[in-house]
Amino acid sequence: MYALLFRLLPGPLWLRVVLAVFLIIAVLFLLVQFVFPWLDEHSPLTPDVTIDD
Amino acid sequence: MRSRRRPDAARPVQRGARTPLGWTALVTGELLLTLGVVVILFVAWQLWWTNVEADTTHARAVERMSREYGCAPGGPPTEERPPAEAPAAGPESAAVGPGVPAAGPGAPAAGPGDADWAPAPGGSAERPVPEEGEDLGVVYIPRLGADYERPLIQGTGAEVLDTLGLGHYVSTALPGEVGNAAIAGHRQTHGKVLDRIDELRAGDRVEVCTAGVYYSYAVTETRIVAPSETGVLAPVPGAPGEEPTARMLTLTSCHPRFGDTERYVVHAELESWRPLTGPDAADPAPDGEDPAPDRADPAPDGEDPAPDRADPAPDGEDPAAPVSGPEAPEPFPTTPEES
Repeated sequence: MYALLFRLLPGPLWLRVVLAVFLIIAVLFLLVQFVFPWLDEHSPLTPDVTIDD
Repeated sequence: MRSRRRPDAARPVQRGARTPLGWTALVTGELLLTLGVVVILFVAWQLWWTNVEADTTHARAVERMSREYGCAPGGPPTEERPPAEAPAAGPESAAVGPGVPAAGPGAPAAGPGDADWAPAPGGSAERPVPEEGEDLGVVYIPRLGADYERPLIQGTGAEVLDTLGLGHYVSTALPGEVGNAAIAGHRQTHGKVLDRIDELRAGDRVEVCTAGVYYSYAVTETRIVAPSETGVLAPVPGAPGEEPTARMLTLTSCHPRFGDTERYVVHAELESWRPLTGPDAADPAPDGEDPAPDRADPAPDGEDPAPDRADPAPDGEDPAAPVSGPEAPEPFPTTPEES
């Protein structure tokens, strides 16, 4: 799957590497800004610190 | 080598994925690996990034409140000690904050026993219940570090505890009020504000600097309870339904350190307090008298019920309370009585 995605990126190899790095950074940003805070609130793994839950 | 092409193939065939089953297996495997990496990243985010974010936000809030209220660990700076006279203006002369003394004109300011000084939890016309997310003060806990300072924010939802600082249970009393002021904080992640809560021992100071007053509580007991033990939040901790007479403070966090099957609870009682003037305040705050934290509330007419009582401890502290560590508040003179 990832090999296919890499092959679909345009340009010579060096450009594809750069684009892949950008895509990874974009995904990480989305994770940190949206996915992880949502998981933090709704995950049963996150510890609760208040009384009366 | 003769390339092998399937009649319906529109894309090059990869080694090891020559069949739809192989392709499915490959994608499934890569997705599972991706999920695993995401979970590892999530844990790393929780244990590292939330602390970085929270520390920054807390430091900003503490700096803002320290500037506005004149807060500093150990009490207000001695050179800003208010003059020993009652304010000439009306009862609202001092900055309106939680539990601020509200003395009538000409009457000496009273200690924590005065009903005007500590309005009932639930707010009043002059001082409504703070909104969620509102600043309440700065909390100092010397046992957790001489430089330990965290903001106290109204509310205990995720939006407060995860980013803004220590959370104040909305249904409980405010710091300084008669009753039980309950505070929650994360143990790990999001700033680890109460990580070492288990190091607190009886007698340790927990100090809260609010808009008008600097409170100093002393730990009385620590407990480990079930998460549903709402009795620890009651106005009299452990005795729901009883009328409170003491001014208590309660800290809650999770237990054990990386789990949340129980709660770690620390109870503290008000030991002493100091009025504060912010650096820009024009009106001096009324001087505090020798507080007697276990004194019952007198008639609510704003006057000291025993104006001729000799002060056994002119340093402003309950003489029976333990004074520990270098953070003991500066002694300051009592108010000469004015009629």
